[in-house]
Amino acid sequence: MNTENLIAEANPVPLASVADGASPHAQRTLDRIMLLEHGDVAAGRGRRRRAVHGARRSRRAPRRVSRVVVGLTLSATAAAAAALVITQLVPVGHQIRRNAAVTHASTRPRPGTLAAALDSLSLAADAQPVESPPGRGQFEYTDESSLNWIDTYKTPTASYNVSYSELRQIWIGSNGSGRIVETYSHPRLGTAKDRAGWIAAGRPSLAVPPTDSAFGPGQLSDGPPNLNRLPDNPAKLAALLVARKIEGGPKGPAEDFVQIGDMLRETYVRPSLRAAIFTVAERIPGVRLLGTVTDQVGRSGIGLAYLHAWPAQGEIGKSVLVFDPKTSKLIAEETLVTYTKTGKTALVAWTDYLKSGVVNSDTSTTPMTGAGPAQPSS
Amino acid sequence: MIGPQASAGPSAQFEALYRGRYQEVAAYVRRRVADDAADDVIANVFTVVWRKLGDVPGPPQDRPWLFAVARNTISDHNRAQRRWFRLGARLKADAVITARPVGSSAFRYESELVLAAMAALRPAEREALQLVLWEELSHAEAAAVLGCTVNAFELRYRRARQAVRAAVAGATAAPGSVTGPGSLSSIQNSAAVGRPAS
Repeated sequence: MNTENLIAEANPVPLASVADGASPHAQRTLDRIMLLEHGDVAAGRGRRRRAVHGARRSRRAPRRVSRVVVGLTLSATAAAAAALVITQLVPVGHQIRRNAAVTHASTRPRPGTLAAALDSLSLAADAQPVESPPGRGQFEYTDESSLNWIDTYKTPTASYNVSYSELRQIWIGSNGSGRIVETYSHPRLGTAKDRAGWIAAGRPSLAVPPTDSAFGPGQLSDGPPNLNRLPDNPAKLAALLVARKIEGGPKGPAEDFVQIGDMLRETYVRPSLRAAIFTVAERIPGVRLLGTVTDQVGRSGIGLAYLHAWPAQGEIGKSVLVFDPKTSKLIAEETLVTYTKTGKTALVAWTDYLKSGVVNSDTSTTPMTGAGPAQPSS
Repeated sequence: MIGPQASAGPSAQFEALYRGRYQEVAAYVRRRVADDAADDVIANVFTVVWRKLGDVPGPPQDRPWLFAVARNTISDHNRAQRRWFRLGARLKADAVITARPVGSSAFRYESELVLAAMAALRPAEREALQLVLWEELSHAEAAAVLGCTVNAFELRYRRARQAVRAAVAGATAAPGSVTGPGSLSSIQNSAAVGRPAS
């Protein structure tokens, strides 16, 4: 046998051993691609159009501070349980707005509009007045509304998860001290199983009293990162981002997108840097423009999304950031999950940023300069 | 909805291409990527194809075009793997073979010699052999996949073939040198020694 025949015979994966394009395996991959790219399932299965609505789990809490405080109210079990809930878990009060989001999400952006939208946000950012980070004795204040989950465990059969609309006020001092005030409303049991668990637990009250917690220096956070040391040059900024020199974390565009959100969430980033961050966002592979979307409190903004494929879980996650087109400020975040097996999509986490800025005390709620997007811009 | 315009044309075109070429692309990927990552890489290849649907040439030129996309996707995958695991050395996936040969045990052993010899080749030379002898591309098509001229491809191909021939011949000729799969490292060394300088 000559050398070429030997090599050909040594082929470790003969063509005949691989499933063909009509196989179920190939069909599943095709469905996955079309769901990611097209928002639809491929032909051959009836072209079921799926509305993007509802919500669900976040692989990462959507707020920077929440990484510190999330353990106060959410357990890992709750997060896991949240992964199992579907659209009925969205509070009734948000039903209309959620449907409105469906309309917007269904409007496919024209090619090239991502660049145009990010250019527009970059220009808007550059035109904003300079804001200073909190100085000594000052606090970064954020007033936000979110979907939150609380897990209660008594016994394996008497356990349940409840979603709440949460209003949270946070003051973060330059030394990492601060205060968090939280108020919960609209409790909703997630699934029939949760309801059964709640009944088995003796139907305890679902009301959660408000909390007001104070934190000493370094207890709430390490202090706001000094983002203003970062360069305005988008190429240099992108290099730092990708190398994880700005913030730690895993590699890859999904984390790039998360960290872009982290940076834009800081209200005191200088305008030229914010402009550069939007330019960098344009370069992240997989970032999508959703067009004009409406957040949970009814404000309109420019929606950007990043899709995550989680094949092991049979899920596709969508992280959404919503920006005020006039100020470029981040006004809302959402996480949606589509279950590839059923095609259902659920809104599993959302946060609307109602007000933000630097204040002089941990009781003040009026930012000194550059108040966040409390008012709808459209 | 997210993504390209939901019209029947592009979807139908993509689906036809996908179904017609899935097997070949999947085989290409599975020969080069570990099993647990192969499905993701295959999906990524066709995602690129979907996004560049307007650039896909008509058959038969679509085959080398698809293999070029797959090759780049695998390179991206391997780079990501290296970064992720922070490996200084080459990953297993970067060596040629992640799947095992099929056939009788005697034949598998002979194939092991060939695969070990191929693993010791330079990547571009190894790919030259694989594209022609495993993917069954013509030399011109394979040159297009590798982004080189046909003349340059011919040179690579001949060098690679000669290196494998020398390695296998050396391994089988050396008395007692090869008695089983445990000797593969010596085969790789033989292949490295037998590789012409370039």
